[in-house]
Amino acid sequence: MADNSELEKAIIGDFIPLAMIQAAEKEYKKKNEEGSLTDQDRFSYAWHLIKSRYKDDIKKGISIMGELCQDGTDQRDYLYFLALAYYKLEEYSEAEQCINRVLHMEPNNSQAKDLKKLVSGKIQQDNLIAAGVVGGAALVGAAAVGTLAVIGGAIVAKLISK
Amino acid sequence: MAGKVDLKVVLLGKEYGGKTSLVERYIHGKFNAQAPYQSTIGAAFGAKKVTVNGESVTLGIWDTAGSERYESMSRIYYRGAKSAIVCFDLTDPSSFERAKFWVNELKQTEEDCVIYLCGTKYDLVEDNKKARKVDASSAKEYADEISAKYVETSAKTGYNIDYLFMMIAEDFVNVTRNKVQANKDEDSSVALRLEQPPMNREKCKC
Ligand SMILES: Nc1nc2c(ncn2[C@@H]2O[C@H](COP(=O)(O)OP(=O)(O)OP(=O)(O)O)[C@@H](O)[C@H]2O)c(=O)[nH]1
Ligand SMILES: [Mg+2]
Repeated sequence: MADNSELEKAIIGDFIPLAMIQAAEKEYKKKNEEGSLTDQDRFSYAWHLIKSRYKDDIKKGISIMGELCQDGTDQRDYLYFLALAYYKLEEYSEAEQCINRVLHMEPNNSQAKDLKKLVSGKIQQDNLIAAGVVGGAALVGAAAVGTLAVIGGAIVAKLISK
Repeated sequence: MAGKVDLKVVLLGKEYGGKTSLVERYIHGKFNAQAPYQSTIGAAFGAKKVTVNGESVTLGIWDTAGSERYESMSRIYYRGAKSAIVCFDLTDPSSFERAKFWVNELKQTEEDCVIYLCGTKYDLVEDNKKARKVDASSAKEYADEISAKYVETSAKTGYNIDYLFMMIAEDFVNVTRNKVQANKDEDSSVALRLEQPPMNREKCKC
C-alpha cells in the first residue's frame, strides 16, 4: 500500500491552538446573540472546529458545515472541509461521498484529488482488514456446510436404506 | 515531498492573482494555460529542497486562497512564516491594493517575517505596455517603503520564478538564520532556565 503519511501531513496540516478555536467560538456566539450571524461566520467557525485536534470539536464543525451545504452556494469548499473532517474522525465512507461530490464539480482539482487519494488508501486498508475477518468467517461457514452435508448424507443414506 | 521544513514560506494576495500557478511552476515546472481557473480551497502545501552555499534547505510553501471567504482564517496559515510572497497581478490595480492589505496584516502580526512583493503575470505586460496597470516604479517605491524586495514573475514563461525562491532561501540562510542563531547563543542560558515542561494535553481524545 502506498505510504501517504507525507501527503496526510500536508493536507491535514497542524491542529490549530485551542485559544484560536475559543476566540472563533466567542465571535460566533456574540454574533448569534446579536442575531447577525452570516454564512461566512458559520463557515469560519466550522472551519476552526474542523481544524481542531478534538473529536467533539470536529463533530460540531461537521454539523455546522453540513447545514451550510444545504443552501447550494459555495458547496465545493464546504464539501471539501466536510470530507476532511470525516477523514479526521476516521469515517472514511462519509469522507469519500463528500470528496466525490467535489470531484464531480471539478474533476481536475488537485487538492480534491490528493484528499481522495488519502481517503481511498484508508478505505482499501479497512477493506483488507474486513476481508481478513470475512475470510475467516467463510472458512467457519464452509466447515459448517461440510458438517451439514455429512449429516444430510447420513439422512439420505438412512432414507435409502429404508 | 520533503519531511522536515526549514523555512516556511507563505503566499498571500488577491484571488486570481496567480499564486497557485507560481508555486506550480516552481515545484513542478509547468503551467497549463488551458486549465480552467480553480480557486484554492483554504490553502495548499508544497515543499521543495534547495541548496544554498552547499547547505540543503527545505522550503515548506503554503499557497493560501485569496478569496475573502478565507480572510479570517489566513492568520492560521501565515502564522510562524519566516518569508512571505505577497502577490499582485500586474494587470489588475485592485490586486495591488489588496497586496497592501496583506503587508499591513503581516507587519502587525508577524514582525520577523521577511516580505517579498511580487508582481505576477509578467508575460501579459511584457510586450503590451497598455495591459500593465501597476507600473514597476511605484511598486518598487512601495516595496522600499516597507523594506521588501520587489520582483516581477511569470508562471507562464517561468521568468524570475526560480530566482525568487532562490533569493528567499539565500536570504534565509545568510541573514535570518544567522540572526536567529545569534539570538539563541545570547540568551541560551536564560532560555534554559525558562524552559517549561510541555503542557498536558488533557482534553485530547484523538
Ligand atoms: N498569462 C498568465 N496567466 C497567469 C499567470 N499566472 C496565473 N495566470 C492565470 O491566472 C488565473 C489565476 O491563477 P491562479 O494561480 O489560480 O491564482 P491564485 O492566486 O492561486 O487564485 P486563488 O487560489 O483564488 O487565490 C489562472 O487562469 C491562471 O492561468 C501568468 O504568469 N501568466
Ligand atoms: Mg490559488
